[in-house]
Amino acid sequence: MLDQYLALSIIGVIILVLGLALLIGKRKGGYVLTLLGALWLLTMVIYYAFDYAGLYETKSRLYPVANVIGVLLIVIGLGAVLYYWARAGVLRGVGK
Amino acid sequence: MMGSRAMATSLWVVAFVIAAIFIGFILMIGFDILAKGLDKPSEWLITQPFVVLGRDALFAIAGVLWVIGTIIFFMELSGWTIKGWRIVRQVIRWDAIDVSVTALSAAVYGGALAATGGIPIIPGFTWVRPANALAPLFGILFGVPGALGTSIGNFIADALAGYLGVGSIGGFIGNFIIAYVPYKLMKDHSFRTPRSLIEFYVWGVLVGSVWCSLYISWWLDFMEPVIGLPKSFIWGFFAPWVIFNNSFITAIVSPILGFILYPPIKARGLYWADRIKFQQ
Repeated sequence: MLDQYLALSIIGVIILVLGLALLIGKRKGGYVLTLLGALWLLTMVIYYAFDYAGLYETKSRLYPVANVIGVLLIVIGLGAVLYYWARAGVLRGVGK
Repeated sequence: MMGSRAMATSLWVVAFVIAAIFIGFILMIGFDILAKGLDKPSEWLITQPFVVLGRDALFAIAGVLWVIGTIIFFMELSGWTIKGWRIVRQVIRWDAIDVSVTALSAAVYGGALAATGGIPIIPGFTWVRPANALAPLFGILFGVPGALGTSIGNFIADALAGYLGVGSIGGFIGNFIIAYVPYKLMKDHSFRTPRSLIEFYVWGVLVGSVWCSLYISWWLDFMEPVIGLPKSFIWGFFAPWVIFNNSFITAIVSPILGFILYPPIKARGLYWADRIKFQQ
């Protein structure tokens, strides 16, 4: 039977390729599918990295690392989007 | 004039009483779990409906909800929606702003779930997950882009918590449903009227949490040969626990956050109703 993590990785690759194809063809939905595929594969990278590092073996090893990555995700994600919104004028109401 | 003011006041009283009943009931379920012990799920009050119905009936009911949820998920992402009991075309731009809303929701929800994982926010209680309060809000405020961000955020958090697997596909759409149900079924998303508050407790707290739990549980049961979770664990612990854990924080924190966040998001043109168009 196909390994479930390999199956999830293949799904991520399919979504990313589909998204890139739509993006290149300037079709609607290309951006969001590319984002979905990229974040899906980022999740698989996190899984394989944690598994390789043995972080899943005990909660005491997993949680400090997962907590720090969680905080980084919020700071980087929120920062990047707010920076984009500030530049695009969304924060002044141009998103209307 | 006096009559309409008295009417408005009484509506607010009704709304607060309903909110208090919801919160009180959820707190009662929490105290019941603590009193009976985390290791005795079969004795919990919240587990009793599951015990009465039994696995086969639950599997059949959850199967129907799973099919409806999955159809809605793919329908919404492919540009169709249900409006006034009809299937209509909806125009989500999926431009840079919509995509950034999805990215923001994913990063904040996934990051917050991971950042608070394993930490006793209330001393002695590691399972209290403040980030759960964000899921319905992202749907209510941002619509489908926010709901999709919630799905992605939960998927990332699964990897960071060590729960990633084929079961996470159920969690992906299950979390979409938590955000989608109040977005779609609440008529007033402002958290500023009695109607808005009552609608939130019915759709955002009760229906969203139950549907999400049954959706994921059905998937875990169906994929049992791959995932390997015992059916007794899925329906006797996991399903009631997810309902309680989701509704606990959502009932207490989400209305406050929604009341604060609605005006700035609406003012900046990011509220979903100002961005989506429907074609009859």
